[in-house]
Amino acid sequence: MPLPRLCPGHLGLLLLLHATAWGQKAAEKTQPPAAAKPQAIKIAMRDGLRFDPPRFESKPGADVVISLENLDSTDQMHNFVLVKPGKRDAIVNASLLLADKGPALQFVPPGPDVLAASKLLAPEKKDSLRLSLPKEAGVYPFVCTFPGHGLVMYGAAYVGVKMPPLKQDKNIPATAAQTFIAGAGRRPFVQRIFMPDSGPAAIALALPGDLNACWDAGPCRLRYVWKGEFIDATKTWERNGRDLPKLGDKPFWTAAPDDVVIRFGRADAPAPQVKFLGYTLDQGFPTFRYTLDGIEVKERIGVSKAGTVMREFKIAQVPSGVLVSVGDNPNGEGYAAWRSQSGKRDGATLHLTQEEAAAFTLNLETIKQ
Amino acid sequence: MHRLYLISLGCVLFGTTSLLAQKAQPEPADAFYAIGKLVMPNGVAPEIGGLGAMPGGRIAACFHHGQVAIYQPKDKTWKIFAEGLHEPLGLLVEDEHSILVMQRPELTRLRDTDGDGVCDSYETLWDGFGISGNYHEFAFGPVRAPDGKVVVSLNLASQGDTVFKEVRGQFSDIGVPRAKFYEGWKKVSKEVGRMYSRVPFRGWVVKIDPATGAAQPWACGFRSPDGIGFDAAGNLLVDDNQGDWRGTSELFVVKQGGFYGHPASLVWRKDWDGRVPLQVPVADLEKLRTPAAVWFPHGHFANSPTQIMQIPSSKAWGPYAGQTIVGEMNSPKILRVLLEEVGGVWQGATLNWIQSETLKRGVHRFVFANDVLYVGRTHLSWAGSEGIGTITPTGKVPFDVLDMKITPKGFRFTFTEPLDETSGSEELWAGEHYGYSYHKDYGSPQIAKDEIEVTKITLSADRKTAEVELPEWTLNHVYEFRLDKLKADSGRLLLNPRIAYTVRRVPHAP
Repeated sequence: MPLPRLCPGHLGLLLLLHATAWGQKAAEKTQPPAAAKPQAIKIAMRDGLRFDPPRFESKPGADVVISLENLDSTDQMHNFVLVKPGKRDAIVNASLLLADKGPALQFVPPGPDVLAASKLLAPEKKDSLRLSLPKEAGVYPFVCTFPGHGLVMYGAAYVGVKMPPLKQDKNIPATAAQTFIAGAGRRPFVQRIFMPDSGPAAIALALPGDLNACWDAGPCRLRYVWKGEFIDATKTWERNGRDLPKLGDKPFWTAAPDDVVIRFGRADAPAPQVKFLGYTLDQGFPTFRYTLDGIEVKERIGVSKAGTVMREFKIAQVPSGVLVSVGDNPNGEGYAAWRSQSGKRDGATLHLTQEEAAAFTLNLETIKQ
Repeated sequence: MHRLYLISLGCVLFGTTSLLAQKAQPEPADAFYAIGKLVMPNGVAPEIGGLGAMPGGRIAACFHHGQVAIYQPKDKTWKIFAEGLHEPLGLLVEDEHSILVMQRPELTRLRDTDGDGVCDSYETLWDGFGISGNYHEFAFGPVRAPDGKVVVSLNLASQGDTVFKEVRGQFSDIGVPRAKFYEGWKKVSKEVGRMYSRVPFRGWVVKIDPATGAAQPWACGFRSPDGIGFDAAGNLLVDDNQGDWRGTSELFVVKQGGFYGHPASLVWRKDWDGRVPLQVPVADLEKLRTPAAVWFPHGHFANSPTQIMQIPSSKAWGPYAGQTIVGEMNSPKILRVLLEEVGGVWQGATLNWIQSETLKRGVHRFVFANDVLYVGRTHLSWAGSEGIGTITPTGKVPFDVLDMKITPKGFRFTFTEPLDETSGSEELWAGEHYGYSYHKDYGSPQIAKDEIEVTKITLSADRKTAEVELPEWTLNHVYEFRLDKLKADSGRLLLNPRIAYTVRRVPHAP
């Protein structure tokens, strides 16, 4: 969106005065509040037309300073308009009806339903509102009245009312309380998504037994394995990949950054040229297909009967003996190690004969020390 | 937002419409199109990245969180076909068991090989392009070309963030070396440009052979080309969003090897001389580029255009059969574009087709099936909405501009029904003409704006055609007519009274 050209914010100042005057009026009826430090409330405007946090709790008549900052990276302008209970929709509609007069009013419709309003903030701009909250307990909505934003960009001030659990809060947008675990707890499950510590063509795998892995379709190799919850992709999906998914735990095995899993012939053979061909699913378990120097490799990732992460490799037309990288990872009480029934292990390398390399299995075992 | 829309909303809200004002209101679009919605599948975030029709009449859709699901209109049920894709933003049905889908990292063929109705094979058809990890690198398409190949488009990265430590594809160090991308981003972001192309074919349209996966980078100069389509004449049309180097949202008729204005992608031309695109003088870029065939004036027409599609030649769609439609994210509408070639240059007009609150904003993807237009909505955290709407023509044809063509002296308008006999009056043909700047800043104001002066109007014998003459032309201006006073013989007002024609070239008098 373009930034509308606006006159300097005299209006914001006026509204601020209005807010203060209202606060005084409310205070006249009872004793003025003791000169205590005002409650500090920080609210950011963020990508996806939302206030962060979308709600706050305070006491009736409380003296508050609401610090606002537009952290929306998508060139959107926002304001913050606190309104009387139940008046959110009315204010949003009234702001739309300002039509051509909107910009001059910073899209804040005049009238008694508006309790306080910030300036219209361009990205990276800040404003703060100091006001006394209403004496009357209630849920006071706040909303951005920039055209098109108000239907989704709102939140709630709980004044003398206890906030319900986030997921049950009907006064904030449903999206503010949602979390998305990819696959919604199903295992096995395959989800392509940006992942931390991987190339951008990453694939996240949820496996039975709370095991999880990140397989990178760029270099065609396993990057890391962790145990626990799969990926919380709420922010990733909300922000188009700007935030990476949250893993249930730290990985307990991680490949070396420049790991080459398979080399043909000799240890000093150049890393083969990689091409990703895709994957098939059987019972939800993926078999990745790729070529190394034109030789097709299938790598099925599953879980062994013993409950370990298992990689079953099949290489068609192996030209020679094969060297497989089986780097171990120390972690905590021991180390995670790839073990195979076939071949000979020499340090972090498994040597397979041409015959053995046609089909071999690696299991990620945890060795206690 | 559309001012007329706001005024009409006001009338509804306050119920203050007088009888006189009611008479002056055009009929709503809902009088001509029944707008409904589909019940969406459970547990699927209903943001639509792509739609397609299966040969047997089912409708395939792909979703923001990576599912592909298939809808059976007969019993209104959904079945999940595939899952776990990375932000799929377009799909193309090949047959009952095979769907092509463009996801962020690749063009993928989804196949059901065992006939159980669920995809079990995710085949990489083309991944020969770069991904920097920047959030704005969307991938759109595929769309079937008349030659059987498919076309996809690749979004640029945004200054809003840097790139991953690991990227896929060659990294271009032109202007800003890669190491700087990992230093203080606030400072470096100013050097890279608002939207940038650091890995191959960002800002390109690419043609791919679906049999082999062989790819041809086809044309460059794009920013955020969400909409790709072909018109009835087989022209490849691509639209793009207002932003840097885009004074307003635009639609291009795309030819192989063309450059369409956003310079970041030039670095991936085989013959590029290594200059920093942002430092190439605008005059040089002007020589390279093909300007837009259609400007969508920001605010009143489209702020964020989406899919482009032909209206099928079925009786149901009445006089619009074969015309081209374009979606729009920010307001609840679908537009039409009317293109023509004048002296080798493509240009034309845009106007609303269906604008209705019932349609909702976020119109992203289309599919026509059995005389129903399915409309998939999204927002991707910008303005928009969710779900799938359906549009069914009622059979009633609105009073509408059917076509608008340029003539040596002005424009020829064709209408769906005869005009009122007073329609030759000049003041009914009001409007403004203005330009947009081509520059690196985000968007452009309307420049050199002036009233359209109409000197002569000639109605055809059947009064369905009006020749409107102007005293002079300003090339590279959009001529926006506001025909809200024009009446049909039947007394109706135009359903869509605003129409904007982008004039690049004027035909010679015969």
